[in-house]
Amino acid sequence: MIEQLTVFIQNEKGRLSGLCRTLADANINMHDLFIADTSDFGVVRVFCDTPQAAAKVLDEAGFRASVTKVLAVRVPNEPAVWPTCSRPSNRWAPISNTAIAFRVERPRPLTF
Amino acid sequence: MSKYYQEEIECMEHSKLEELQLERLRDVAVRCYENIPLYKQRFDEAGVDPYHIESLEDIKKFPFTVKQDMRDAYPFGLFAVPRSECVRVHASSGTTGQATVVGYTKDDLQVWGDCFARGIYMLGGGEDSVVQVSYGYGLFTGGLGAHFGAEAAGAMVVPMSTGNTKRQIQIMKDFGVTILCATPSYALLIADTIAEMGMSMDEFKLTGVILGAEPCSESTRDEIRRKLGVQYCDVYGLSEIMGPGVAMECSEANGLHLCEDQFLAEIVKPDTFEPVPDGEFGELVITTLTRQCTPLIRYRTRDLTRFIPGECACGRTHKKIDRIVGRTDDMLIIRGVNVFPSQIEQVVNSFDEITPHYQIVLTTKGTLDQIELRVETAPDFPFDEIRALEDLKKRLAAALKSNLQIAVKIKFCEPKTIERSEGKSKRVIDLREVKQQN
Repeated sequence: MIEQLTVFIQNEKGRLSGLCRTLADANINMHDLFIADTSDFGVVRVFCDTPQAAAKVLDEAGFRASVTKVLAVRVPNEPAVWPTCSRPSNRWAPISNTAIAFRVERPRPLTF
Repeated sequence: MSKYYQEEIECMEHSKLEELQLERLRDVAVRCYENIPLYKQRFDEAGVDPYHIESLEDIKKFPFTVKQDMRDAYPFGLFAVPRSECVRVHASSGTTGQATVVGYTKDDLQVWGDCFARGIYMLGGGEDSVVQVSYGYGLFTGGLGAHFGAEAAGAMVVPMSTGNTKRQIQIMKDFGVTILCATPSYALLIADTIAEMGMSMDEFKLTGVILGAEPCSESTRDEIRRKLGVQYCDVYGLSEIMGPGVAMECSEANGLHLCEDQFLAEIVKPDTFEPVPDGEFGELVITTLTRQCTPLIRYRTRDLTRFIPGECACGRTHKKIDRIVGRTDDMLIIRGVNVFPSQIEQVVNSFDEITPHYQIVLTTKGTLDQIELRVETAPDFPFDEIRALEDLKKRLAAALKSNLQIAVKIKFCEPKTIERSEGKSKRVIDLREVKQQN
């Protein structure tokens, strides 16, 4: 399990940049950021080096932030890997609906 | 002991009751016309003839009386009897302007006591009751109103007035008080203090409370019922009309029986003054039918309620009004529907997943009014799951729809973006192009 920073923000101009600026000012390094958005609000999920400290900083700045434990799965960067992971017969299936992010750590070189 | 204080009146066939009302309406209209210059002038201006009232419907031709009329007549300008016949006066606090003064003859006091005593019986009380009156005594009608009402019912009265809560509780226990009369907030304080003192309700003989004189939401009522474990009798009244006892809640706990033999009530739209259909909310307008010293014709109470249709299982035939949901000053008219911030507040408070802070934003989209409710999720809400947020939104919208009869858009806001204010004014932001006429 790894710790994920979750922040609730209104779907309004300047909120996302405000969130990033707050983290930057606290010298917190983000690795990933992804947004699940609806028409009026978004849930921003961040992987960073110090999620607990980040949540505290954001909370003090008036954001609604929390740390959520999430399951990280490392899979090979190859075609057809994900369908295998999330297949109903697979033991990961129960969590497959909440899979939220993909990060490519070592991109395969593009070939022409 | 009878279930009713005045069975022949309280359970009178409604058509008979209407005959009685008509007879009394004719009498009061003439008394007002002949004895109060303001009414003579108003009736003449409106072209209404107080000597020829054919039916109760004719009340609609008469002009309204408003609080300002009473202020203008300060102190005794609306008395319909010689000063010598007036045996008591009460007055409003006058915090929102000149005080309003009302007078009572001996008969007026008798009627008042009888009206309140009906409520004592609604709680199963009577001669054997011990009634503690924890309303303030003085010019305010609460204390003396409840006091004489309890005496009329034959109960033993403990005239405590307000304050010194621990002593109130000690006396309540030592004297075996069975019925407590207070404001809802004071009753709640008493309940909490009892718990703080390490006492249990088993040590008391309390069986009922008669609470009124301030607004009280359904959730607070439940809290009081739960903490004190007794029957709750909501009492309605206003000093201009009489004082507490104009309407009281029976054991069915679904509305307050209005003393229709004494008061003719109408419920009108606060903007057009047209009558609303039975069951719809509007402003309560009251004509006093027997009052001698300060009779009032069509007094606009500014209190918002509705008639509760249907017969009451308790056997009383007098019409029931709902608990007061607000004042006309607070009311919003959205798509022609009357909406009170208190209704929204009640829904908001019933959801633990959101904080009690809210804001209502009204806008116009095309020709339609849009209502948006801004709320914040509680700090421990698992907002990481969009599904949980969407589900909460759905449940909140459904609860509002069933309570207000109109669709409300829900917007979740970030923490502390909704202004915290004591008053109600900032709870509503009206951005509509055509503002309501109020």
